[in-house]
Amino acid sequence: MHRTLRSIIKIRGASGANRLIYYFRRLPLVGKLLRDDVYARTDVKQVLTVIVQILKVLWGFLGKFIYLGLIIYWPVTSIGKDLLPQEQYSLYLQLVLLLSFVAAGVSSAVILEPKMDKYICVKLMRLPAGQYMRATMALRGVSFGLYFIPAMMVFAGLLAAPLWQGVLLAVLLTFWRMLCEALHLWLFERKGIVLVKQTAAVWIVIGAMFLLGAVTLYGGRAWFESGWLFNLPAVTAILLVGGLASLYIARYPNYRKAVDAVSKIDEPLLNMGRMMKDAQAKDIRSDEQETVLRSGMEVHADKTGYSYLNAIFFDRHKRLLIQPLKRCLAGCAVLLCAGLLALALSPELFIAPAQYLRSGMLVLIFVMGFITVGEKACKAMFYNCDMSLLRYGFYRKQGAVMSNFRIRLARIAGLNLIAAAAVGLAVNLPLLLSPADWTIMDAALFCLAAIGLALFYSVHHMFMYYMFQPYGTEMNIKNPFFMVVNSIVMAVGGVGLVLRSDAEFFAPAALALALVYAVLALILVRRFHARTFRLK
Amino acid sequence: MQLQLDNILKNFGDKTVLKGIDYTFDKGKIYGLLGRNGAGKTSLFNCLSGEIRMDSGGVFLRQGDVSEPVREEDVGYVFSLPVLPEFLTGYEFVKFYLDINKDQLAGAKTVDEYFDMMQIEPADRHRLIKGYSHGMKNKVQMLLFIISRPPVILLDEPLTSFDVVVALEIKNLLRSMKKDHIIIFSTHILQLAADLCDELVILNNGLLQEIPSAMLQSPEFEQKIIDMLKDGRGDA
Repeated sequence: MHRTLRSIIKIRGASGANRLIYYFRRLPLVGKLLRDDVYARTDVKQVLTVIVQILKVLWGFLGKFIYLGLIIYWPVTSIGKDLLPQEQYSLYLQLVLLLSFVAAGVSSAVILEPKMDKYICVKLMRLPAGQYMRATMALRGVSFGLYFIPAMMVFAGLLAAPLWQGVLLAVLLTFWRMLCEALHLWLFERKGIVLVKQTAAVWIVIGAMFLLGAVTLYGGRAWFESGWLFNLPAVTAILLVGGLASLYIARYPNYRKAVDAVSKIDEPLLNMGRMMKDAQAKDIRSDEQETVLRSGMEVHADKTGYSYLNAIFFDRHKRLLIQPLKRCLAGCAVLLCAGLLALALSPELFIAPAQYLRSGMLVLIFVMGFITVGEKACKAMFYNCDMSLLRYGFYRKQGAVMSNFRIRLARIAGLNLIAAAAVGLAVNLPLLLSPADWTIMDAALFCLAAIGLALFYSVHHMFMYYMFQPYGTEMNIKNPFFMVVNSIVMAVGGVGLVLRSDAEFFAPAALALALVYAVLALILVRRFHARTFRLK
Repeated sequence: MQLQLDNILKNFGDKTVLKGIDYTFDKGKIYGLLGRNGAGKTSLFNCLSGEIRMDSGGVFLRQGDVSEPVREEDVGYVFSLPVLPEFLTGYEFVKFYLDINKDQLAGAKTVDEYFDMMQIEPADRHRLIKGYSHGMKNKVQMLLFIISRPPVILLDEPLTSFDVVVALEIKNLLRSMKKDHIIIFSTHILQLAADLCDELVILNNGLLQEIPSAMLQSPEFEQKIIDMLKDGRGDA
């Protein structure tokens, strides 16, 4: 087993080192320091492998601190800050029981986990499945316990409990989880079920445990006492069943079958990258059912060239564009009805919001940012249209780029203006009818601000897409500057408007900013598209 | 008309793929571009079509005594893996392409006439390109240069996905078009190269090497080409 374990650790180390090199080389500026041939430099790779191993161990310890600290200790001490330390400790133990013993026992078992490492070692490197599984499970058992001990001790100490209870809790959890692993394997052996792949069941357990945890946490009272866990019969029982479970895992004869069941090449969970890619592709795919019936030839016969192309594009991506707008309109309708109902029941309810809105109109920055369409539409433009057409010279020419840009901007701005109008109506109508101090002028300024922001966001999404073309052909965002500039523009816009937030300034400023941005965008896209709007 | 490649250099990271290519292609000929996997054939095509930038050098189109830098619209490029907007039907895409090129096209046919020419069934014309087979997508790609007739036509592994009937048609089409164009196509299939091409060039070690026309007809043609590609020196 020792030799198998060494081989596995070597393979993991080498692939970890390769990954480190790969991502380091993608960093802006410093990435160039590593040359292409670094993959072949055994000396560098060995050093990196050691670094990767050390990082993995450190992460192992740190991960437990983060998990226990953020998910369990912090909520217990912040929500139950008025409780006595021993009550907090009981709550803490109770959450550990719900989340680590029960929820993770179902969701985080590794014995039948689809994993690239398993595929590489058993399928590609031909390590015997039994040897591989026994070695990895032994490593898992030991490292799991060791990683938990320091964190468990620290948090036990912080909650004024004896440190030995922290150590014992880690040991008990390790043995308990071995029992869970064995049960997963047993279920697979008897029924052929891989429980970790039963997504619905796993999420129901996780959801139920988190809900139970939240209920007891907000209830502020633990029904669990530490004595129930830390007593000789309970400890002996857990150690005994955990030990027997480990024996079952060690002696299990059909590991080949167990590995085969979760390491098929088309196993989606094996390749998270591909799964993400598929999910994203689904997210931005065209509406296909309708298209066969409604040919672009008939519906858009009056259009030609880029108008024709975009008319069909928007027609076949209605789900992507119209649905968010429909949701927004429905939201506005609900808001309007609620407003009118409130007006009938208690008109004076509107006095305070009207006062707030007049000086706090900048809340619209976030509202409009949330409801306007753009980013996903640009992504669909790229993956479903531009990614292929940009390979043709005619599509990269200035006339084509600008024509497309204008048509798309007009279309997106049109949709966003409808959203702005709906928000304006839903907010202003009840306010105008109410006894609150809200004049026609206020309503006009509000609508102006909403329109300005709708235009601003429309231009912004399109401008960012054309100037940074952030997408790669593999459904990933390839241009880090996209994120950086996006954040900077948002921050500058936000800060600038926060400085003067009264409606008389804010509304015209938003509209003026949007118009200036639109003109600038047209100029800059015309000037730089040849360099920026390309396949990366 | 001539297509002149002047000292084309292209690096990818530390690797120099094209090491200063100088070559002149003439109108009226079909050129076969041979090279091993990774030799840089697609990179060369991408540089010629303007899809990627070369690190130095230039590509010029020479008419008589006038030589001008080649423009993107002068080059028709058929990709080895068809690249088409899959949300459109074949008909819509060709209509769009005809629309945007209508100023340059004299006596263009109708969309259906073009489809008839490529033997694409009427029912298939109104299906999304997404559902097309590889061969059908390739036919649509070919249609684009048949429509716009650019002076330079690049075909990257063009005929491998066609069935024998269509492949023969396309070969005949290329032969009939060659008098007005410079046609360069890359392939791995030596038989096809010998059968269709007037000239053969080998891309080896980042440089282009012309194969003497006499060798095309020689019985040892295949073996000689393989030897040249194998030893990596490219010295004919």
